Amino acid sequence: MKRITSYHIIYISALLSILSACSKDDNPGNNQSQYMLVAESASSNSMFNVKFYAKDSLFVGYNKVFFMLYEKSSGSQVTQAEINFRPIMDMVTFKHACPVENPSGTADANGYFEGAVMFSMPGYDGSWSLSADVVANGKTDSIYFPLARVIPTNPVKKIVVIDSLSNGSGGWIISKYPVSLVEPDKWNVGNNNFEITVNKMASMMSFPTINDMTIAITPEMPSMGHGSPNNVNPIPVSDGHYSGTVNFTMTGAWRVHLDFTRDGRAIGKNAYFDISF
Amino acid sequence: MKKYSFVMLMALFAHPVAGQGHTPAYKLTADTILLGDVTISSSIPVNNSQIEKFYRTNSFSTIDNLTAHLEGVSLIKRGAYAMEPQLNGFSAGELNITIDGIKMFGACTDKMDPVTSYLEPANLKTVTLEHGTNCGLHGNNVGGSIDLALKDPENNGLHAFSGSIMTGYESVSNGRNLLFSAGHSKNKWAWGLNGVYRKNGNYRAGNGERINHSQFEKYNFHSVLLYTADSFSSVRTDILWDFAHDVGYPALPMDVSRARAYLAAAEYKREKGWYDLKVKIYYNSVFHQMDDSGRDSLFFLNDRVPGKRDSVYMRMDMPGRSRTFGGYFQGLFRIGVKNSLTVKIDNYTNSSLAEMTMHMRYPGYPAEPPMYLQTWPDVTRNVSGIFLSDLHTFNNKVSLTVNGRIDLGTDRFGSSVARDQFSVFNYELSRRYSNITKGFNASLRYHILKPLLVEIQSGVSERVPTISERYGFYLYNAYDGYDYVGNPGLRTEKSVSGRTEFTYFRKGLKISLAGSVSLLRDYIMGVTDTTIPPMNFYTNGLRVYSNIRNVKMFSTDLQVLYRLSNGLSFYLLSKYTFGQIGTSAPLPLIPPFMNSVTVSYEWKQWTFQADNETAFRQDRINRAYSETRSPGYSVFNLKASLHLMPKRSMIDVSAGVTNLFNRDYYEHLDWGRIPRPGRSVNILLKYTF
Repeated sequence: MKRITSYHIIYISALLSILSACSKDDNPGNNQSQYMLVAESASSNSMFNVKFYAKDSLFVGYNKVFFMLYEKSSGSQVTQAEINFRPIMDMVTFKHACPVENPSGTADANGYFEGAVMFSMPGYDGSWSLSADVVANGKTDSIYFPLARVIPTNPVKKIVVIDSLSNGSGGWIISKYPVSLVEPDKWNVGNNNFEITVNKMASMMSFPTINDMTIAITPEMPSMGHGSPNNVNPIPVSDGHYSGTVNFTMTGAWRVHLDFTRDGRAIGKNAYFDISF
Repeated sequence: MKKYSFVMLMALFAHPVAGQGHTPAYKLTADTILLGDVTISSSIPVNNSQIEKFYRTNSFSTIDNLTAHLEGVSLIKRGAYAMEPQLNGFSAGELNITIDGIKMFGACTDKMDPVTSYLEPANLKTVTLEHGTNCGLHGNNVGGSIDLALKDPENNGLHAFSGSIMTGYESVSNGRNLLFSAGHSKNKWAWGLNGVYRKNGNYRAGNGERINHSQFEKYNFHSVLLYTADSFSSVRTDILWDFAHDVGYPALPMDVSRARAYLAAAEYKREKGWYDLKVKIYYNSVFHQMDDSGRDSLFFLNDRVPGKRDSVYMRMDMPGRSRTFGGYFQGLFRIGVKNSLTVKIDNYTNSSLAEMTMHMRYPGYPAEPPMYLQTWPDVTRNVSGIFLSDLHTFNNKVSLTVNGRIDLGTDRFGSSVARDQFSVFNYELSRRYSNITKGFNASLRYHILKPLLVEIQSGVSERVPTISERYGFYLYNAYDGYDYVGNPGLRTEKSVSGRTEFTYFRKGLKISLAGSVSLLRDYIMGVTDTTIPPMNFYTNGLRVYSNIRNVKMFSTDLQVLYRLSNGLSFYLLSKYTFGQIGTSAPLPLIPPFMNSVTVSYEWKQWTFQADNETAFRQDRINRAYSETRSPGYSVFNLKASLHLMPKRSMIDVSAGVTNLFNRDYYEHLDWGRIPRPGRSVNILLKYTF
């Protein structure tokens, strides 16, 4: 008798899930509100109108950014364009940039050109700006967005691994590697994709990607003094990106320790990202 | 193959064999019935047996005092409350513990609430034991079954309203106890109510030490309503509610702030000459809130930086829920004078969910986000079974019972949590897990001589892993200090068992000697896995439930009851259990040889009783499971009681001393070697109307 009941329940819940699935299909999501509009501006020579979106408030770390491009004269949306980001931090006495990932030449189905900016420090009242060179439909122009705020996060989502090597004559060769955490939409108990980006600070303005770093991860729950099994060390998956698996056995405050090795030398021993969920 | 074996089983039942021993072939003489019920049908009539006199009314004892004195039963102790029964070395999932066939499961992942903890002796009519694989009536299992039948409406014939009220005091724990039982019958209706209130403080051990966190307080009610339609059929409903709070567990790092169970059952019974029918449906719900709010919450952690120690405040909540809904149909058919066939068809669905949330705060910092996991992910287990048994009486000396059962069990998950959690072990859970288990047993009763009865039983059976063993996620075991993780790939635990029992009875003397052997394959126990890091700063490591190739168990018990006509009686119970993994390693948590002797003397309205409980030292220990040697002990108890019968009522007054010589001792199965209570003076007053 109970079996019939439980089958009924399963049947009803199956029915409900089909119904709810149908109703979802009937209302396709409004893609316009998928991202947050950061700024909107015309390009310097008024060739394009550009809408600048992000997933969230801009922060120090790996920000996915989205451009939507319109030809100013016709108002039509541009789906093929070459966009090169040029973020600048103006510190009055000097300026520096930060690593970026430029969008591919083709917009996605919703018209977004997707790229990324790894802001290296907080900024207020336009100290950070994001410029971009745009080449589309045979026209070349540039756009300039002063950024009101780039906020620091706690815990941090960007670290700098510093490698110092003696040059043999009393000086040091210092290499700085900005490392950013590419956050998934949600951290879960269980398997999680763990992705980071690694660049090298070649100069104040140049941050080439690094693809020959060896990375080991060790998650730990500092307050419990324990880790988790079966983690997979990140390996290069695309230009500057390393992806692995981190396992969390419970919710709470986790710390993922990172050990970096390059050219056979261990660098940046005490690096970590804190992840709370 | 499955179909084939089922047909085979059916074919076997078609033979004129089998039976469950409902009707003993021999009537025992009056003075042996008391113990006779213990050994012959392994059933204790709690209301009027010698055992009851010895151990129940004796010290208004908890159910644990009662079960401890059953043949083959020992108790695993974690606190003063809710001890876990162990039968011939089997415990937890290896035993069917049922309430008149009702399946009920504790909600604590640490086995702190065995089903027996939600019952009181005051609720019970009988306790029925089956040993080894011969427990198929209540489900396929390897260790046996303990079935506790709830009390009928009280009717002592004195009044339309009848009942008793009992109050007692225990000095060692400042324990106050109130027990009551009442009944009212009118025409075809009968109603009974019984219950208990207990409040115990921290007890003092034999060495004078106060054992902190050994307190408890509990309330228990059982109501039964019986409607007897005619001389053949009746309808009965039972409602049981049990609530304990502020229960301390000195051997564990946590206590229980609340443990609540309720049970409702309805039963229809029809007994008409050649057949007895019983249909029962039931529902029960258990909620168990384990937490450490009564403990010091300041911990010291070793930081990653060597040598640095941090203080941290930690709180842990571990609520667990278990709900079971089920029913069964049971029929006994007397076919001719020689056969009685029992058929039982049953089904139950149990849902279990246990959570753990840790709250951590470093002094001077805001609290960390809560750490949450599900130690029992939301699992629903449905088990359907069919049991057939035939008792064939060859002649007035020999009878044979053959029985068999097939169970179909299916586990399903209520959420994706189980799947997510197990993904950290690179283990992909299936959507559901199913098992078919089979059990088959035969038992022979042979009355060799008039005063000598031999019973031989043998059988095979298997059991499905428990929820903990299959899906448990970081279950901390305070005994060995390891976290246990379930293993969904576990095979069923299989057993071949045999038991022989000799009973000799003559006038006031009764001697019973029994021996059980179980050979287990795919025995389930935790095996250390060093590839998985420990979960906690206080755990030794991690163990994964695994199938061990083979385990042997042997247990024997001797009972002697001797009653002289001058009011003097003597009772002896000796138990010994032996367990071995493979060829050499001892099985952990096996009690040593134990002996219990009681001498009582009745004189007019007085009863005087002295008993002694002696345990040998246990040297057969398994160090890998953190077992340590336990010394032997010997404890004496004294009691005197007076039975008065004023007009249409009875008054019982008794006073006693337990642990007379204030021995500082513990039993081998006591976790954490927490000393047992020291000398205690008990006073009891019972009024029956």
